[in-house]
Amino acid sequence: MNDKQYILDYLGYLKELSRKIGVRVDFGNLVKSKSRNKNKNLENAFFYFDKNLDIGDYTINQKTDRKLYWYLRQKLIEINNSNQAIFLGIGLLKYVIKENGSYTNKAFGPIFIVNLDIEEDKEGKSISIYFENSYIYKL
Amino acid sequence: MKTHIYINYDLFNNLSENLEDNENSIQLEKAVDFIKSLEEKLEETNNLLGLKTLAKEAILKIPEAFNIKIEQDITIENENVEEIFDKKESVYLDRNYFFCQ
Repeated sequence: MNDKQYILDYLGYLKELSRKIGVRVDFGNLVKSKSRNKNKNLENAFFYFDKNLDIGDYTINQKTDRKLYWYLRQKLIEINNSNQAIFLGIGLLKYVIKENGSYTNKAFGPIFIVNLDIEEDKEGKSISIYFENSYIYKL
Repeated sequence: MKTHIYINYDLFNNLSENLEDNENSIQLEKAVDFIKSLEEKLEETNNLLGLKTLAKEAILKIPEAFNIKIEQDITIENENVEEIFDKKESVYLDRNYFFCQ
């Protein structure tokens, strides 16, 4: 097998990984599918979270982390009985090219994606995010 | 319970789209080395700040690794995500965020 074939096989492996992981994040589609009230939808779509958490548990308290608590609570309701999930995106790259006078998003998404286990407590006063027993997904 | 941390392979697939037709195997090798190196570094990272720093380091190496043409340098910005969606240029937002998909 020559070098080029080896490398092409590796790129094929990446595509296979994307398919198996089943997490295909392209924010370009988010705009296309919700263009009618774009700003409102985007406002509700993301919640910035720049705290530095070590791998472990994190509890979001209704009183002390009010905005994040209500954002996650709303998202938990939205994804109930659907195949959606809540993620934490790390960084956001938008790569745009100009072709024949128009602009095309060639890539638009986070560099890393953290797939979270999130659970609301029975009394509805806090939400737990589980980072415990974390491992890096690698096939 | 397990928390999965992934490289966004889909993003890198899109960036490497043009490389498959590239006759220059050195360029292909650069892209592969970049992703393998990113995988190795990701395994050593154990907090969100570490992930954020690693992502920012990766951004600075992406143009060379993927031979992508950028009209302007990727700028590191902290503005609102709404503005990022409207921009007609390549940009990087250096923040972490919850989202649903």
